[in-house]
Parts: sequence; C-alpha cells; structure tokens
Amino acid sequence: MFSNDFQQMSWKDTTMFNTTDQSMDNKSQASNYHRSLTRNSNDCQLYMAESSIPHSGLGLYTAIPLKHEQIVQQPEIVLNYYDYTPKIKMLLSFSEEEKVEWSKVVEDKRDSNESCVLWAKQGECEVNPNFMLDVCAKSCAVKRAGLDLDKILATQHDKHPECKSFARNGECDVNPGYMTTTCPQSCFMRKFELETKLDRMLGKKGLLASTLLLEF
Amino acid sequence: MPQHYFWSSDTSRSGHEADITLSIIPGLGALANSHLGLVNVQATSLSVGSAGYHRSKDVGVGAFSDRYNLNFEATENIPAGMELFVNYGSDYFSTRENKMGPMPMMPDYFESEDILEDFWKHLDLDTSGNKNATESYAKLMDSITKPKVKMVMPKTFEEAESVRGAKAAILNVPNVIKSQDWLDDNGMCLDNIYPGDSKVPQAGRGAFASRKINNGQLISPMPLMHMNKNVFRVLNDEREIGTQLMLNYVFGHEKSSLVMLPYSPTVNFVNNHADKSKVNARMQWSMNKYHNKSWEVESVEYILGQDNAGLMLELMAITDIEKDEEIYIDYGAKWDEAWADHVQNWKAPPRSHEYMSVEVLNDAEEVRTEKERVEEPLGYNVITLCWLEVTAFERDIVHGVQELKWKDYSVDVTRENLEDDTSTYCFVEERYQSDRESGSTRTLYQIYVVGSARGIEKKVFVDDVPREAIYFVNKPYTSDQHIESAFRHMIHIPDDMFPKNWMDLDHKQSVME
Repeated sequence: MFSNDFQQMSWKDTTMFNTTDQSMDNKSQASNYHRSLTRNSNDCQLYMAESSIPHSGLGLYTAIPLKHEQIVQQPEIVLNYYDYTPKIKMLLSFSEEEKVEWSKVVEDKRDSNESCVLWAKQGECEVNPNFMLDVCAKSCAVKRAGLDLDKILATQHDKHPECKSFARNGECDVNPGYMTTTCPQSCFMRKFELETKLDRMLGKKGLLASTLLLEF
Repeated sequence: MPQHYFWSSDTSRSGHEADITLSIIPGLGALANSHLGLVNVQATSLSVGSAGYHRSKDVGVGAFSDRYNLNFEATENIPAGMELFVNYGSDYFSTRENKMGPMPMMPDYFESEDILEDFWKHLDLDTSGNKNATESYAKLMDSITKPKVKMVMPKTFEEAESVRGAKAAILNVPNVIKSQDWLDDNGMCLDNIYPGDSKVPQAGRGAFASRKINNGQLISPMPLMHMNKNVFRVLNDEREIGTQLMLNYVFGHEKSSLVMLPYSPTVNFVNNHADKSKVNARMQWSMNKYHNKSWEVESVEYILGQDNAGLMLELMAITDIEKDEEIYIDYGAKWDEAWADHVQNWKAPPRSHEYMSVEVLNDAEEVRTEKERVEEPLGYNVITLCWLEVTAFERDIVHGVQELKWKDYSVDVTRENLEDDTSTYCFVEERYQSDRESGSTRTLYQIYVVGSARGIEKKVFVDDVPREAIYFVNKPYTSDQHIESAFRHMIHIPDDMFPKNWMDLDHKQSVME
C-alpha cells in the first residue's frame, strides 16, 4: 500500500518522469492530435496511453487517486468463447502423427448412436458387422485401425450436471457402460488428464499461455 | 492472436457454461498490462442475466452476452496518474521465461516486501546512523539466497530508502506515475461512455455518454484484436450448427475473413440504430501510432500471422451528444436486413417455457427446498451451487466431523469467483428462521451434498447456510449464448473504409453470410 509520503514524493517528482524519446516536433504533433480529440474530457478519470513498461504496447492509467477497494472502471461485459474445439482437445490429447492418422481413418465417417464407442470396445464391430458398420462407422474404423477409441469422446457432451465429480471419483473405470454414454466428455477429460493440463496452461485465474501457439 | 487475451472461466463465473470456456474481458481485462510487482487492480464478482428478456418471447435473447457488471477494484490506494496493472497469473510469465529470461513471480515480490518491512522495523537510524544502515543493508542483501527475490530487492540502502512505504518494483519502472499534462498529451480518454439498459428494444445493454460530447470529438478509441472469421463456426460432431456469440461483437466485411474485436472499456456495448437519423457516432481509422497504417496494404494472411494487436478504430461523435444520451452507430445495411429477417422468422426455441432465467432465481429473496421443487420445479436448465471452502469441507467429511455448520467453510460470496474449490453442487433440504438467541432472526437453510468427497456416497448435511451462499447457474450448453437459432451477425465496416487488400473472399462464397 502506498503511504502518504510516497504519494507526495511521486507528485513532487512527476515532472522528472515526463521524459519521452520523441523529438519535440513529434511530441507536439502527437499532443495536438490527442488534445484535439479529447479537448472536452477535462474530468476524464481513465486514460489509455503507452505503457510505462518499455516495449509493452498500450496501458491504462488512472487520472484520479483511487482508494483501496474502489471500483476502477465502468462495469464490463464478458465475451465467452466456448469449446475451442477441436483445437484445444486435439492439441492436448493427440500427437502430431496421431492427428494425421486420425483424420485419415475417420474421414467423414460418423456414429449415429451414443453407445457406439462402448459397443465397439465390446467387439460388436466383428460380431455384428452389418449393423455396426452402418450405425457406428466411425467407431469401427477407429477400432480397426488400432487407435484409442476413447478419443472419439472428445466431441461428445455430458448429459448429467455432476459428471465432473463422478469422473473425479473414478466412476469412468468402475461403471464404464453408464459413464461412456452419460458423461463422455468428463471421462475423456479425465482419461487424458485434460483438466490438469488446462490448469497448467491457464494458471488458476490467468491468461492462456500463448507459448502453446494455438492457431486462432 | 486472441489467446493472449483469454481469461480462464473462473474469472468470469463461466466454468459451467461448456466443457471448456475461455473469456475475453475488454478494458482492464485486455488493455491493462501486468507487472507482478506492481499489481494494483483485480476483477471482482459479476452479474449474469439477459436484461430481463426471456427466450420464450424475446427475439434478442442470445444475441448479446449475458455476463456483465464485471467490476475491477483497486487492491490498494493508488495515486493519481499511476498505471494500472492486473495479475495475468504467474503461468503467463513462467511459460515465457525461456524467451524473456528469469522472471520474479508474485511470491518473490511479497517475500522481498516482507524482508524490507522487517529491515525498517529493526533499523534504528538515530543510534546507528546512515553509514551503519548502508552496511547492514549490504549484509541483508548478501544473506538473501533466492536469486529471484534478490532480483526484485532494491540494490542499495539509498534505493531502498527512496521507495520506503511503496513497492520496490517501482524502481524498475520509474515512469509509472504520469502527470495530468502527460496524460492529456499522450493519452486518450476511456470513460466518455458508460453502460446501461439500451433504449433499443431487444438490444440488451447499450452505451451512454458520461458527459457532453461535441460533434467531431472522440468518444472512445477502439484498439482491435484481429482474428479469422472461421473461428466462430460451431461444429458439433463435425456438423456445423451455428456461430459463437462473439461474432456479434466483431467488426468486419462480408468479403473478408479478417474480423476485429475492440477491447477498450465499454465500446462493446454500443448499439446499432435502424433509424439512421438517430445515429450519432461513426468509426474512423486512428491516426496514432498504434494503428499500423502499413497493414492496410498487407494481406489477410500477413495480418493474421501478427502476434500483437496493431489496428485501431476511433469512435467519433457526428452530432453534439448530450450527457446520458445513448450512443448509436450504423452496423451496415446487411446487418439491418439480417435483423429484420430474424425478427420476422423468429420462433421460440424448443423447451423455452420450461427454461428459467438464473438471474431471477439469484435475485429472489428465498430459495425453494427440494420438496417445494416437486410441486413447483425449477427450469430444466438450472444447477444449484453452494459456496463453501470445499477442501476444508471434504477433509471434515472424511474425518467424520458431525453437525457441519456453514460458518466453518464460509467464503466471501461478494468477492469470490466461481472455482472448483469454493463451490459445490448442493440440494436444499430445509428453510428455517435462525433461533432468537442471536437477537435478530434471519432465514437460513440446511443443504446437503452428495458424493462430493472421494468414496462418500451418503448425503452430507450442512446447517445455517445463508441465502447468499446459494447460487444458481445454467447447466452446460443451456444458457442464452447456446441458443442455436439466436441472432448472429458481425458489425460491418463501410465499403469505403475497408482496405481492398483485405477482401480475400471477393470472388468466393463467404462461409458466414
């Protein structure tokens, strides 16, 4: 917390801080531009300007002193982007080679029953090929190619609000029949430790690390 | 490029929206820098709701974000002219250490602050004098073994003295406090508009003038993050089922796959007006150095390959605008047509009469018990959550602690955001008045949790839960942003403003139109 001493110190010394690397001409040009745009905002409290951290682009500045716990800007909107699919999930659960092989095997094949993965695991593709190749083309192709059937679950959604906690308690292994159809997403996330990987990416409350170089 | 700007859904209380939700928070959540030694603002709670509209009767529902009122507050007293810093999370920096060199993290800064405080407490300048102080400071520095803590400590006694009472990190960023003159010369004002309920029917919220703005004046700068329009396509099992809500907030052109999202405060609230005589603002490309004019002749591919934001629009007044007047721009003829079409062909989405707005439930004074819900059910979309310290709670369950009371696991519900370890699914067993011993009676609840702790499958009851610790959210994929038939259309930049070189879809059929 800033003490009063410090606030006084900083005010006294602000003139010292006002050095910029711009030439006088540039400075007055930029200054005229900004002043012409904002000349009736005398009581403006929040500004956008070059960050004081070098080479960090823009930053925000308060023009008024703020008290601890005082609200800083107007209440803001949140824009959600959900299921960065298939990119995040594919990125986290597939190696590059797997991705190529997967897309070759799957092509445009589709499953039309949510139990396909389960049936394929139980060997139905071989026992009952006529029905299965029609209804579960995708699962059977993945099975035949020897790929991990559980990765199909990446594109399916949970149907019960408590799926995450079921999965956390190990239900996916104990009760695969029910869980594969009811909580495919949570079981998928659990099996490939996606939650742990995501936590590592995002921190507990943070920005997504761009080192992942997700194409957007 | 927006991956730099995504927040985890914990910050936006959106963890239950979908399997994985990432949030963009304009203003402080996108424009403020982070310096882990100088963090002085943080996000607090927000509200969820569709401005009182309901999907069974309102055509605008699902066309605007239901997450609003996200506030940022000062985490300490901040002097006028100071730059504002948020905490991007330590991971943001630690994952960049290979590029940027060793980075001190927040615990390192906290530790150095503690060391300094301790130093000042034990130093008696009167008896030991400046010379001794210099020596004992040097000794103190020698005794610090953690390199990152050492990095953030003032190097000498004189340096330490110069920032006494402030954060030592200020030594590394000496220009962090600006004068009013500097702000006027180099800054652009960000609080000429404020959000409120729009006067345009079905538009949700809008932006209003905080003060009189003259014709030809800047209302707000709009720095832009660039992205590919295709990222808004929603695919379900390889089938295209719609577009993401964020499309409604981006600026673009029908002949381009380049779209741009403004990320300065409040500008995303600015609405279209169908009656063009009411339009009082327009956009123009900025003349300042943060708009790379040279990008106007580059290809879409080049721009999408740029890691940092480099384009900026300005929102300008085209009439005199009085204080508290709503700001309107023209979203383009294509947008008007699409909206008219949507209104004409609109049908309520399936099951909309069984859908209950969680905002109504969250605002209600009382919460229905499970028994009452049999008679009068909540919507199919509703999940009940209880705020409590989950780790302590589960530990007590495992240890067989009896007669659990909420106060032993209490969390500050006005400040905490939704996280796995501060909320849990719960059921409401009973509602009762607190006993008279405490003086004033108040309504409290008994709740229970099922299967929350590993291996525990029975109901675990918690007593004396206050109303504010019970909270409703939507089940994944049921909130208004997930309505498949909701209106989705980007904002059009006028033909004469949109660079020809960006029109990569000129001779092709656009996927989004």
